[in-house]
Amino acid sequence: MRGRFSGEIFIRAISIALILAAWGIASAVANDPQLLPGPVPVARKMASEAATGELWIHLFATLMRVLAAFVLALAVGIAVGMFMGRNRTANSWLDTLLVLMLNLPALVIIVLCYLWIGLTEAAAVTAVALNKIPTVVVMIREGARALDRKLDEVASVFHVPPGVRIRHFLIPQMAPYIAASSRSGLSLIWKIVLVVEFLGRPNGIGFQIHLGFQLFDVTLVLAYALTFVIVMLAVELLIIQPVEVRANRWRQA
Amino acid sequence: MIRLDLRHKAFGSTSVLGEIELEIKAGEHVALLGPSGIGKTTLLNILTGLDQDFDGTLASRSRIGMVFQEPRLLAWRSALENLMLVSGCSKETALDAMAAMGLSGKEDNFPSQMSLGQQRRLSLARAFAIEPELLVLDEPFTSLDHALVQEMLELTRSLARSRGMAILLVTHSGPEADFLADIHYRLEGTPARLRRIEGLTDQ
Repeated sequence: MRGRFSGEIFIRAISIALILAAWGIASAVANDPQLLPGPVPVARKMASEAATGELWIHLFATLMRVLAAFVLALAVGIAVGMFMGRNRTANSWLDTLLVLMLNLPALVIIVLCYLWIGLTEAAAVTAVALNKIPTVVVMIREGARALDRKLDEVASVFHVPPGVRIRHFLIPQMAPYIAASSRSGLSLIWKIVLVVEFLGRPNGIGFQIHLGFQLFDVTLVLAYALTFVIVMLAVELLIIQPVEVRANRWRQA
Repeated sequence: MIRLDLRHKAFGSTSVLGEIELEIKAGEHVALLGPSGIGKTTLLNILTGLDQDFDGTLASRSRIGMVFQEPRLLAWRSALENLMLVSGCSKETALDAMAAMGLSGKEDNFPSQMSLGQQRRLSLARAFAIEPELLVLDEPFTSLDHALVQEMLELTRSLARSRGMAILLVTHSGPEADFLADIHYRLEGTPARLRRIEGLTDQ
């Protein structure tokens, strides 16, 4: 097990090195530091932005928006998805709205939120959450439909209290669906947060990328984008994957 | 302890159960026989309160422990947790119930690490762990080998007797009914009705 684990880390390290090397070669061939700076100038830019404190301010602002939108989208999405999965009439009523929301472009929702609510933090977070909720609903609804009704009967006959029912009957069955929507949610949400910041926020990674766009500063754009990719990679490796391993322990038994 | 006055039960336009009166008193051991598909499980669902969509009245004040046709365990919890979470009993009671079923040492196993026979015994232990006044058994011994069936029947009978609990056994095996129950009913006809029968059944 340990050998396989270190082997996998080795492969990952090599693949990262290969990507960096390809980037370096492409930049050398292009020979235009303004159009495609290499990994070294971008890393230097990240370091200097971090040293002035700018990087942390924008990173923090974006992370907070991602977190708020993520929590909101998951909470609403799980509640609506469970409701639609368990209740056929509710599903008939809400399904058309769901299909409509799934097909509404992210940009339309963002622009409408800014126009209706104003250029505020609430509008930004709402816009991002509204983009994500429909996909959470679709996944959770599938999970709710797959719930084992025979276990429901066990809980009813034995008068299992609601708290135990939710924690030990419901959540373990829903865990794979919640994990899947969290994972796809996180990557979708941070991409939309950047667009929201690009269009109407005075700080955040998206705002800095807007600045880089206006100044034609590709190094700045890449420095901020990569910082956030690294942070999200860390979230994936340090939080999401360990939680998943723990939740799936019984499957390997 | 439990009394059902059923006038009628239907699924859509299909009548399943006709007029049925059934009373089980404390400590009584009752068997319910009949061919597959006659409505035994439907009647059981009404008696246990799982199905409330029927025409009639049910008076039940007893604590019910039930063993289903399949073990119906939480695959993601250990054997001991399965007992404690569902029955709400203490750890000591759960350990005792497992020991009585010959499952000592299996406490930390997940259900998938146990044989079908062990899973069925765990499901029986779970029903005993809530210390029921009425133990309901819905064909709990199907697809088990003969020796194991006999072992489980004896365990069930001795535990039920020593604790004075009533039993309602649903089965289509005459010998099982004879072994475990003193009062035998047969479900027959369309819509099905109950008929009391005597002694050794041929089915």
